[in-house]
Amino acid sequence: MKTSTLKTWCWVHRWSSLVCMVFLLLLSITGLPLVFHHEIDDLLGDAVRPEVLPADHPRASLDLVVAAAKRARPGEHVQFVSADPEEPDVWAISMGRTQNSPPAENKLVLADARTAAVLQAPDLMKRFSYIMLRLHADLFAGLPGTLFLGAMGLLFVVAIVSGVVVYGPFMRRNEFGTVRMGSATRVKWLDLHNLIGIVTLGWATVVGITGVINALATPMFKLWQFTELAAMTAPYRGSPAPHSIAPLQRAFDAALAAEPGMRPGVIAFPGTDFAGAHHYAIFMRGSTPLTARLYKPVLIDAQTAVVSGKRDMPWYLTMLFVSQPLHFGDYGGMSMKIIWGLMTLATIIVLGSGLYLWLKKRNVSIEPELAGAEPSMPSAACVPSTTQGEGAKA
Amino acid sequence: MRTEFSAYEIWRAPSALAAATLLGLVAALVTDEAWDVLWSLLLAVPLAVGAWHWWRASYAR
Repeated sequence: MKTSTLKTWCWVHRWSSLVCMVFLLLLSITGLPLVFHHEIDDLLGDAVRPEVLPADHPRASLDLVVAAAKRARPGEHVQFVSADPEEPDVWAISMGRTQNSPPAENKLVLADARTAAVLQAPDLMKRFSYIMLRLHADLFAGLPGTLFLGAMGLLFVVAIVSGVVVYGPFMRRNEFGTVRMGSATRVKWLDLHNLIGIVTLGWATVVGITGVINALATPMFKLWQFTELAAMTAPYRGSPAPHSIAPLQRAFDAALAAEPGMRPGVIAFPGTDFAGAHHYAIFMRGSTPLTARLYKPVLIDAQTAVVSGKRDMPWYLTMLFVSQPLHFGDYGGMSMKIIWGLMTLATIIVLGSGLYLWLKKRNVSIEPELAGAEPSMPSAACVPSTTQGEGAKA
Repeated sequence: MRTEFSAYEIWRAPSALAAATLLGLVAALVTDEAWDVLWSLLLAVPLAVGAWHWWRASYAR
C-alpha cells in the first residue's frame, strides 16, 4: 500500500473514531447494564412477578385482561397487547391518550394472563433499565436521537473498517499479539489498542452494524405500513371505520387457528398505525430459537373476527428482527451475557486507549518507538509525527 | 529474527478469531439455550487470546 493511501486511511480512522468516540462510550456504558437488565431489575426490585399458580391454571379471556387495564387507566385507549417470551404469564397492555397517539407516550399496564388481575408494578418509566435503554436508543430525543446515534454507529463501523486497513501495514514487522511493555506508555497502549481491537473485531463489527440497523427501525416500520400493510388493507380503503369491534379473544383465537404452529407476540388494536382502522393485527412468532424472533402479521377483521390476510414480513424487517438480539446480546443464558459484558468492556478499553493515543500525539512522536515500522510510515494509531527522537519509557 | 511478515501470517490469527466469533454469534442465535455454554466458550476464545498476550507481555517476560 502506498504511503499516501495509508495516510488517507489513517485520517479516516482517526476522525471517524474521534467524532463518534463520546457517543460510543455512552453506548457502551449504557449497553453494558442492558445486557443484564433482567438481573438488574430483579436486584432493584423493578421486576414484576405474577403469583405462583399451578402450571395448568387456565388463562383468562383477553377481553377481561383489557377491561382490567381500562379500569386501571380510565379514559385511555388500548393500543397494543404483548407478551414477553420470558414471562408468558404476564400481558403488557400499552395504553395511549387516543387510539393513535404516539406509542412512545404510552403507559404500560401489566396484567396476570391467568387471573386478569392488574399487577402492582413500579413506574416502568422510572426503572433504571428503562433509563439506560432510552439513553442507549435515542438519548431521550425520539426519532432524531435514534437516527443521530445510528449515524454515530455508522462512523464506528467506518472506524473499524479503516482500523483493519491500517492494522495490516503496521503488523508487517510485529508478531501477532505484540505488546511492548518495555517501551513508552504510549507504545504500550498503542499495542494494546491494536491487540484488543483486532481480537474483538468480529464482535464489534456485528454489534456496530446491527446497531445501525436497529436505529432504522422506525423508518423500516413506516415503510412496511405504507407498502405491505397498505396492500393488505386495500380492500377496506374508503370504508367507514367499524362502529363496534369484535371481542379481542375471538380475534386472537382466529389468529391462532390461522397459524397453528406459531405463538402470539404483539396484538395491535384497530385504529393504530400497525393495524389500520378495520383490523386487529396479531403478530405471530415462530417456536424455534430463531423463528421466535421473527414476526408474521395476521390481520383479523375487527368487526367479524375473521382472518382477512396474512403474509411474511419483508426482508428488511426480517433483517431488523435478527439484528435486535445480535445487538443487545440478551438472547442467551448467563454465560453468553458475561461474554457480551467482557466484549463491551474490551470495546471501552479500545475507545479509551484510542482517545489517549490521540491526546498524546501533540506532544511526542511514537514513531521512533515503533520497532520495525518504516520511517515514513504513519503508525497504526494514525498519530502523525510532530517531535522526533523521543526516548524509551514515558 | 523476522523482519517482515506476509499478509497470510498477519491475517491468519485475526481472521480465525473473527470467524470463531461470527460462528459463535450465529450458532447461539439458531440453537437452543442448552448449547449456550459451548457457544460462549467459542466466543471467549478471542478474549482469551487477547488476555493471554497481554498477560505474557506484562508478566511472563
